[in-house]
Amino acid sequence: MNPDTMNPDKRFVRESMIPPAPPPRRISGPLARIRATLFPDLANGLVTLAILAALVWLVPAAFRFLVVEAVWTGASGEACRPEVVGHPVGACWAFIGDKINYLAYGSYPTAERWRPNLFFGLLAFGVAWMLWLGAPKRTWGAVYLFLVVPVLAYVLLAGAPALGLVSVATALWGGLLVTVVVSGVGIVAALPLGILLALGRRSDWPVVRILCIGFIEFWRGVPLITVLFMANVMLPLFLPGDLTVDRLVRPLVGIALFASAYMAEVVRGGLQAIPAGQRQAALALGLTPFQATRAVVLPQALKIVVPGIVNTLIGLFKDTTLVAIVGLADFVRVLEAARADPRWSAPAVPVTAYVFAALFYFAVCFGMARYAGFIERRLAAGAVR
Amino acid sequence: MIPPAGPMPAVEFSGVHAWFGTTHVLRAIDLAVAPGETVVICGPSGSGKSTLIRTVNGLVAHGAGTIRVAGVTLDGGAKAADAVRARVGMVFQGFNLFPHLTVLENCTLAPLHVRRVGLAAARALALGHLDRVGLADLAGRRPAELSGGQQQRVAIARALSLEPDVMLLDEPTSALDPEMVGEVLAVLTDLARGGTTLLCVTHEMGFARAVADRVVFMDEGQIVEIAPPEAFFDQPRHPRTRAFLSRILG
Ligand SMILES: Nc1ncnc2c1ncn2[C@@H]1O[C@H](COP(=O)(O)OP(=O)(O)O)[C@@H](O)[C@H]1O
Ligand SMILES: [Mg+2]
Repeated sequence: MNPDTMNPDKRFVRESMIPPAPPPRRISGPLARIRATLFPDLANGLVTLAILAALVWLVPAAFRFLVVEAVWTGASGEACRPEVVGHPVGACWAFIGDKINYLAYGSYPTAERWRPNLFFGLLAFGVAWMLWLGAPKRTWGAVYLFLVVPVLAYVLLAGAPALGLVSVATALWGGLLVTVVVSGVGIVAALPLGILLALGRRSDWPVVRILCIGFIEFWRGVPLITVLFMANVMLPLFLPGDLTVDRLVRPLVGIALFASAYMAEVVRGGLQAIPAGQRQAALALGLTPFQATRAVVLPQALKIVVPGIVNTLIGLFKDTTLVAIVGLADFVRVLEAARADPRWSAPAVPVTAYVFAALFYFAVCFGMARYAGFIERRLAAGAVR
Repeated sequence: MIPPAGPMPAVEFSGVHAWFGTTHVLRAIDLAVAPGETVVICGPSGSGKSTLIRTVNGLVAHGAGTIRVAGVTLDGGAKAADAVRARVGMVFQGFNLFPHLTVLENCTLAPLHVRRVGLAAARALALGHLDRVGLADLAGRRPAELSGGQQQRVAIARALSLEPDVMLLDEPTSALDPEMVGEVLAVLTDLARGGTTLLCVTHEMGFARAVADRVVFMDEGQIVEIAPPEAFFDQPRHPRTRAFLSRILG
């Protein structure tokens, strides 16, 4: 304490400046960090202990079920019955192994399964191209993923007799293939449509605005299951009599429009967060309203709503399981069908099927969330750098 | 109104009115700015200075009267607005730089999209203007990494990247810390002396006295007095001008 600065009657002039010093140990360093994270005070410390206790109980149990007591090989349900194998049985992975082709392709003809495989490959290549931020020519990656892959996928999967690819009816498609096609089409359609709807909702032109509001509110106000039923029954009614719509395409249209309404609201949130001055500055520079939106407003708005967009995409991905209700054999539906196989009747089989479905969906959704987190950190770093 | 003698004005208002809803914010504005002239606009808050300046590039639509900029008449259509905006640069009180772009990208936007020169030419142009405001070495930074004064200088370079006939400035130094006002005014002084037509809203009276050709005083949406700076500051005629000057000069 400096008596001169504390004394109201005293004039003070500093004689030498104080150099910076490191903080004391108790507020920095690894031990202090662990302490501050796990045991900052009594209440938090108790919560930490409770969580640790739960982990100690859960992790070994899960490990025992998934690995130690799991059955890895076998040709029928017998292999997964405790009374046959003579020890408690956890997951019956033999069942998944036996059904893996059915889970991946549904009833797609065995001789033609190279086509879905090629499709998965083309898709994975495009997705990797887009997700790897340092990749060369990412604009072409987007063109490839959003235009080339859909066209190739259609030709490849549905078939083109002119090219020597026999037609495969969509009723035969199933499993992972259907889940990937439905969610892929949903994502590819929902993002651009959602952006257009969000921009339309803020348009200066009342007719456009009202149409967009009506569209968004309609799809948001109807449950997805209803949308799927309606698409199935009503879409054919809207089209001329001789035009039939494929049973796979009907729910696809429904899901894409449903997801785009949610996407529109997410994007609108971002647009609203951009100050009006940004648009004015762009217009004052001579950019047209379209250029101002494309080059100045949208990039900033989309950056803000990355978490919301990913949240919507995750929801969309999980919602695709509902297409089973209109008769599509998506991933969950084929798991259901597979577990009902009498050859594989054993108590462990249904449990394994659901655990496998949960792990699959969790892995994909968690992957999306982690990637979004990575993008967010990169954008945040880029903003100030 | 008597038509001004000499060459065609850079900016010409005749009988201009503007409304926000039912609020009458610009009333019977008549003003001609000659090419190369520097006109400073001042007046109390809410007197319509920003609105006046924004009608010049059509950011605010005027409700009546005629505005001609470099020979183009703003008729409310997109075509006229585009033609005028391509020749008029604007600097805002709050800078309004694009935070997602680098300093250089802020300044190449107009050359690339409006004047449609190639990327290399746009970069060279932008670097030239950044150099003019003394910031060429910060071209790779983001706006958030710059001080307020540097940001406003970038905004000036960005407006200059249009190679504009007219520059509009709306209180370019009001959002700055006092120590940064000088660097921005120095750039503006340099522009004015270099022959750029400036229409500048500011309360920096030292700058007005030193650089302006004429000072316009506005109140309640109308022009109350126009005079060369010496006459404006030393012998203000209108009582409202005198009251305003005594308020801000103390
Ligand atoms: N976007 C707007 N909507 C409605 N009223 C506005 C708007 N902008 C400005 N005004 C009003 O117009 C008048 C003039 O405003 P402005 O031109 O910003 O004045 P100044 O720049 O001289 O302070 C003020 O009464 C203000 O409240
Ligand atoms: Mg103002």
